Amino acid sequence: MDTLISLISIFVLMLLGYSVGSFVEKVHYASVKKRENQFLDLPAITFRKLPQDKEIIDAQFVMGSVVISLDYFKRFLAGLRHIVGGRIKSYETLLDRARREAILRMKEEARKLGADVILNVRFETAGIKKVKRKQKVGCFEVLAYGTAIKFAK
Amino acid sequence: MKYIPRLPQENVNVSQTSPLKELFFLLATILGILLFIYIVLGILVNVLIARAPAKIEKVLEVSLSKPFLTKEQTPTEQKVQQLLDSLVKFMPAEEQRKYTVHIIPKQEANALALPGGHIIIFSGLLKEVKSENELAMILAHELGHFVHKDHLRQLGRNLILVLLLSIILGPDNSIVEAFQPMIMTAEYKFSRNQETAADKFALELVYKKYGHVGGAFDFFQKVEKKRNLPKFLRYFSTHPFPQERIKILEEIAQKKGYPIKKVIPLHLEISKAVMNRQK
Repeated sequence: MDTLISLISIFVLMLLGYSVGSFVEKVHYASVKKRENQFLDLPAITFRKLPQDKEIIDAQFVMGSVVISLDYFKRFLAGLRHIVGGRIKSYETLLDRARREAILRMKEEARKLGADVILNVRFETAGIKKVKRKQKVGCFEVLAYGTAIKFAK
Repeated sequence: MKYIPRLPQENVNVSQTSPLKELFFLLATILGILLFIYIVLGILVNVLIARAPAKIEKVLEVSLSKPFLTKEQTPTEQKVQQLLDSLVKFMPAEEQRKYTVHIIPKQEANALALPGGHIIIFSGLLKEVKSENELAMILAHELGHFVHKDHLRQLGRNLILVLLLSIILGPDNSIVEAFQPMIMTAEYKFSRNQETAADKFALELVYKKYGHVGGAFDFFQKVEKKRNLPKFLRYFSTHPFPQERIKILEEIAQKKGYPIKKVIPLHLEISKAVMNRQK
């Protein structure tokens, strides 16, 4: 009976994780795509050299950070993947969303400063693990940072 | 070069496979491998146990029946022990050895057979028992498990299951945690075939002792009344369903012409102890 109860609870958690998780993901992707189009005129690039032909009137460090958590379904899938190996596909959308959201937040900050371009953009990803009674809660932080540059008009 | 702002056409960082498809594929692969190993090792255990020397049981007794080794028997346990000893006399000569009764306070109506001839009876079971014949049937059933070496077989299988899961998945994996209650409840439970075989052995033994099989079906009948599981769960239960058990036993009794006569009431010492516990 105990086994049945625990199996049912796992099933319910997975169902919840999958249905809520995919709904949230869909909504988030729609919002990300919309804002990416809005910020299209503000390039975030990895160049390290300043452009020579333009006069720079302002430069400031900008960053955008996102902390994301796994849902039960994704974690279960990853747990199975740990056994047989291969790509953990369930984490790919999660990290993809986090990276794009981090860039958008960085661009938002740069936009407030009236910047024209963000140079030397870098990413950092960190796993934040909270171990409590062996129950791991998997979280990641994705940080995007760069230098916002404002040209003279 | 002119900078043209644009977004990538497609996302190369995200796989397009459905996560549900992946889940079923992974589950099927892993369960298939586990099942294969479990079955192969299970067959191996069956073969090995049949040839296992007595020494192995001695080793298992020390490690598994330890808490029961040194304890002195209470008056109730002594009474049940007397009944057990009288049953053992009717067993085949090569199976006659030291069997010990232990009663532990637990609500569940259950009895276990542990290595080294230790029969553990939960007090919840004693509460249900109304006659000596009924108790004798239960004891004989456990003796049947010893004769068929089920206690060793099942330990072997459970050991394999625990080892497999913790080796493959690692000790603190969420999947292992999910399976843990399954391992715990599977412990000391035998398969349907093993239970039926033990039942048959018990019926014969009880007949040899009393000359009739009155009271032998009483316990199963009580269990049947209490149990109201939905039908689809029956498949998963390890014990054969009481009704089936009674049917099989009654058929055997009829075939062999075992009579059903009046039962002997439970010894005062045992029923007294049960009454005390109920208070």
